[in-house]
Amino acid sequence: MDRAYVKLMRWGLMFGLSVLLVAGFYFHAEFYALGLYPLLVIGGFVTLLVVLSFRIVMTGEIPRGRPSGNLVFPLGAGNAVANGGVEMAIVPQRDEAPTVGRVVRAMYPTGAEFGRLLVLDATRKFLDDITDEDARMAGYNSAQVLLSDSEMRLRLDVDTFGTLVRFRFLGKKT
Amino acid sequence: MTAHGGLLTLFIGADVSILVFVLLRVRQTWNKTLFVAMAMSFVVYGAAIAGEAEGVDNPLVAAIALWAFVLAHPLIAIAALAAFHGEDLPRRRPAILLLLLPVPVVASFAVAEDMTTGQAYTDPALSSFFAVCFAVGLAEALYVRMSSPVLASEATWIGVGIVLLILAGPLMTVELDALGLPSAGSLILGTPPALAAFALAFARTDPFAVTDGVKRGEAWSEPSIVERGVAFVFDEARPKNLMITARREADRGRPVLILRRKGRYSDPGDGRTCLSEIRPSAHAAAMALATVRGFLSRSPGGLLALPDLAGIATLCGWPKTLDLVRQIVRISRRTDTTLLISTSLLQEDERRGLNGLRLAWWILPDPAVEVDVMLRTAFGAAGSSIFDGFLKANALTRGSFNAHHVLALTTHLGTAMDAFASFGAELHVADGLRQLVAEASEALQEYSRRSALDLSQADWPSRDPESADEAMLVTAMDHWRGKEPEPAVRGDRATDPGHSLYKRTLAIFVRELGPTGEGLLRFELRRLGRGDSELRPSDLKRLADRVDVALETMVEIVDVPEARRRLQEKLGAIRRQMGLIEEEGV
Repeated sequence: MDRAYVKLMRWGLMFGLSVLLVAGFYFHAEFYALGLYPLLVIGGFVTLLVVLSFRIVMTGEIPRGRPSGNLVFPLGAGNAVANGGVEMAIVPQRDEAPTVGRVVRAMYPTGAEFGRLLVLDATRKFLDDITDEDARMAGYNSAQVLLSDSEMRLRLDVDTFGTLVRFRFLGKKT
Repeated sequence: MTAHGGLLTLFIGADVSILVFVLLRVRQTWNKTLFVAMAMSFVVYGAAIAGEAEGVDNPLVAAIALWAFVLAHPLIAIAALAAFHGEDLPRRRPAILLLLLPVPVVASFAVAEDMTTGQAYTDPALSSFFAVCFAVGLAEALYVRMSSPVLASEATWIGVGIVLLILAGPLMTVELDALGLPSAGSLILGTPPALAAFALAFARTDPFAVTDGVKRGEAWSEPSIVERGVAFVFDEARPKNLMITARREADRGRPVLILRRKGRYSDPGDGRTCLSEIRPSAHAAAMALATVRGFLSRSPGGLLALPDLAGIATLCGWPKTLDLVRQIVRISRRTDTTLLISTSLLQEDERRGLNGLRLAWWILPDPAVEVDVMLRTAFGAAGSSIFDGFLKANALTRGSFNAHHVLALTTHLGTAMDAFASFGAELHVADGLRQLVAEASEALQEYSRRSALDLSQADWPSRDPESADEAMLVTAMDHWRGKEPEPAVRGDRATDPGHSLYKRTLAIFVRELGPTGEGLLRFELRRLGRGDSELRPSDLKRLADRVDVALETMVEIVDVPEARRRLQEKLGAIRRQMGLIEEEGV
């Protein structure tokens, strides 16, 4: 039902934009009174807005600019991150975690980037308070397995807390 | 329909859509009212001009258009300030409402002179009034943009909205007049994006939902546990003392607001406590600020608790969070409110930043640590096991244990010790144990009653130099009523071999089990029919077997794997040491 509603909204907005374009064609004779150069500037600007609006409506994503920050995942976790199997990363205490709304790079420890992520939520927790649900979102079976993982232990070292960053995969690097 | 009329209708439709969005989305009453008034003035103005473009020639329509046109301008300025000050606006910037005073005069003058919109913008008196309205809104937006990281983004949007109105209003009107094109209603061309910018700013500064909302009341003026008008930083690993303090204030009837992430620190107790959930948003700091303003405007003199400052920092960054704290501190001083902030989960540089604000800083202990120390002081190593048993039985962890659980803990102590004592009919042991439990319970209850101010003096059980380790060997005897300290434990020489063996055995039991060990040893000796000086090396094996059984029973009471393992280790150590004594043939 939700997806049908979103689709309906999207089509409705595109129809509205199309009506706007047709209205512009209908009244285009009035625009000539502005003169060539003002018409080029103003008309070009308005057309650009319409094109950007179509793009936003069709993709459902507001352009978010360049990524700022990275989230590192174990080697081979790329597919799980892309498919939604992993939707949370744990950032060590001493590292700066990305804030909500930012786009970050999804990277392997080797430095290779495999995609872009949108940060949906970030919360700090003591490592003792990490639940099994948190661990499953991070791609582990349980909290105990997560904290016992050698790579995780290496990253968390002597930390007492970490930042749990929940994200959505936006796509491969563009 | 003419092109002009059609275009205006389209833009008015967009304005109405944005108006509906704000009506549905924005929670703050003051902001919503101002936005509606501003948007409606644009809509009415646009509708009147569209009507004129379609040939409606009625002086009333023209008058309505001019009145709406004039009213819209001071509302732009007031709405801009409302986006930054929210419900606090009438208190922070009441002078802004004076901009509404000239509206009847200006509008009447414009109607009397039968002015068009273009003429209104070029008339010296009217244009000055409009310029002041735009300038006030724009200046406030610029000031907030430069001085407040929390509201910088919203100030940018408001500034953009006002600039668009200036472009679409006076500038475009004059330009179109110069080109000989119809300029009436050109302001409306800029209203959809401008209203969208305002709506975005209002939505981003909307407060979080507050449960159990407190109705508007008089300022709280009763005596408080923590001083009013002061901001306190509770330096503790987890905000336990902060929540206890907030709870105690709420129980006294003081309005309390607790801002936290979902699922955390939600033990408000009774009283007038409001809970507000910090939602995951990049604008969490601005929304938190609006929430605080709304609460304090209704309940001045209340208490504001921020156990989850780290939660806000994680969502929108430390610079905004620090600015949020500064602004809340200013508001709390002005409204005589107490502010409690926790340093839990803050990173080192964030703690330094908070320290730089020079707020009252209290270093406080963890109740779980202090209770553990007190239990180990009373019962030796078994004290930690008992504590762990209580936590497990009540689905708690050391992280979630707080001072208000002490009552349940003392009940558990009594139950656990009754179970331990019940396997023997030796009343003397039971009496001694109950005395021990009573004293420990009294100490725990006394600790739980201590206020944060008292604890901030750093007089905690864990800082007592005479804590658990020494008590295991020396003060065990002191807990038994009517008992004199055994010379053996203090290292005095025995007078006969049996007594010497007893002293050595006692030392083993006390070293491994603390004060409980002595009681256990005496109890088992009675069952063997031996007095203190009658113990023989050949009795040691039977004694060890009986202790085996007793400790297994104790292990069943303490249902924690780690604690069981420790008890079993101690049992093994006791058997080994008693075996050595037997081999020596003392």
